[in-house]
Amino acid sequence: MGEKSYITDAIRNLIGRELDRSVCEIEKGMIRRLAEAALDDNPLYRDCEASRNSRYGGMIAPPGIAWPIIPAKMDWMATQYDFPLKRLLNAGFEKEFFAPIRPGDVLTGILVLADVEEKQGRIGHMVFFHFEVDWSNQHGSRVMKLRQSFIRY
Amino acid sequence: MQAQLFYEDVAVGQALGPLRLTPTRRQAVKWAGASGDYYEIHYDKDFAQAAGQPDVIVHGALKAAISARLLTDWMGLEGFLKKVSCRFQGIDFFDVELACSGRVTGKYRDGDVHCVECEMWIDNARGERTTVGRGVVVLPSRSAGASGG
Repeated sequence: MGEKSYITDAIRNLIGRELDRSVCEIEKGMIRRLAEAALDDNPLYRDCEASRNSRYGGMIAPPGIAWPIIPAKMDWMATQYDFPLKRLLNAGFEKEFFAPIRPGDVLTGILVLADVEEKQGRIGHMVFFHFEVDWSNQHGSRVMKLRQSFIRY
Repeated sequence: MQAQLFYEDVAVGQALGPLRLTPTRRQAVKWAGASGDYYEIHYDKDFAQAAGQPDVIVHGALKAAISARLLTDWMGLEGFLKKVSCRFQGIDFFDVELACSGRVTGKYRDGDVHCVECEMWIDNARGERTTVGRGVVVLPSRSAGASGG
C-alpha cells in the first residue's frame, strides 16, 4: 500500500515488557470520591450497616478503582508520549475481577504494553495501543485485570 | 434498596434500566480528581477545540462507570461483578442526557458459581449510541442454600 507506518522499532521493542509498576493502598476517601463523582449511592461503597451485613462483610471499592491506581506510565504514554499522531481517543477497556478490593488493601499493579496495531478508519490513520495491568493484593491474590486501548490519530 | 436478585429470577432477554443521568462539567472535574484522569480535553474548551472537538467531552471512564452501575444496582448487595467491558464508539458532551440500558444475554453455571451475562449500551439525547459494553455478574442461587455462595 506504501502507507507510512508509525510503529517504530523502539515502540515494537516495548511490546510484552513490564513498563511500570505501582504499589497503592486503597483508602476509604478514594472510594468515596469515585462513588460521588459517578453519582453512585451503592451502600457497598460506604462503611455502613448495609455493607457490613452484605456478603462482603464491609465496604468494598467500585469497579472504577482501577483508574486512580493505574501505573503512571500508562497515562503518560496515552497523553504525553511524543508521537507524530497527536490526537488521542479512549477506544475502550475490559476489566476482570477475581476478588473484592477493600479499604486498607495494598495493591501492586504491573503495566505491560500488550500490542500495537495500525488501522485506517473514518478519522484517518489510527495507531492502537493496547495496555494490560494486572493487580494483586498484599496476600498475593490476583484481584483485577485491566485491558485498555487508546487510539492516536 | 430492592429485594435481592437470585440466579433463578433471571431470564435471557430480560431488560435492564434505563438509568438516566446528565453529566455536568462539575461532575467532569470531580471525576478527573477522583479517577486521576486529568486529560485537558475533558475540562479545557480551548484544548478540546484545538483537538478538533466542538467542546469538552465526557470521560469514557465516567460513561463506563454509569454502565457498570446498571449492573451493580441490579445485582444487589449479594452479587459480584466478575467482568465488565466498554467500547467507545462516539463522543458525548456535558449537559446532554444519557440513557443507559441493558439486556440479559446468557446465564450459566461454572461449578457452584452462577453467572449471568449482559450487554449494555448508552444512547444520548441526540439519538446516538456512543458506548456499548458487556458484563458478567455472579448471583446467589436459591438452590445453593441460605449462604448464597
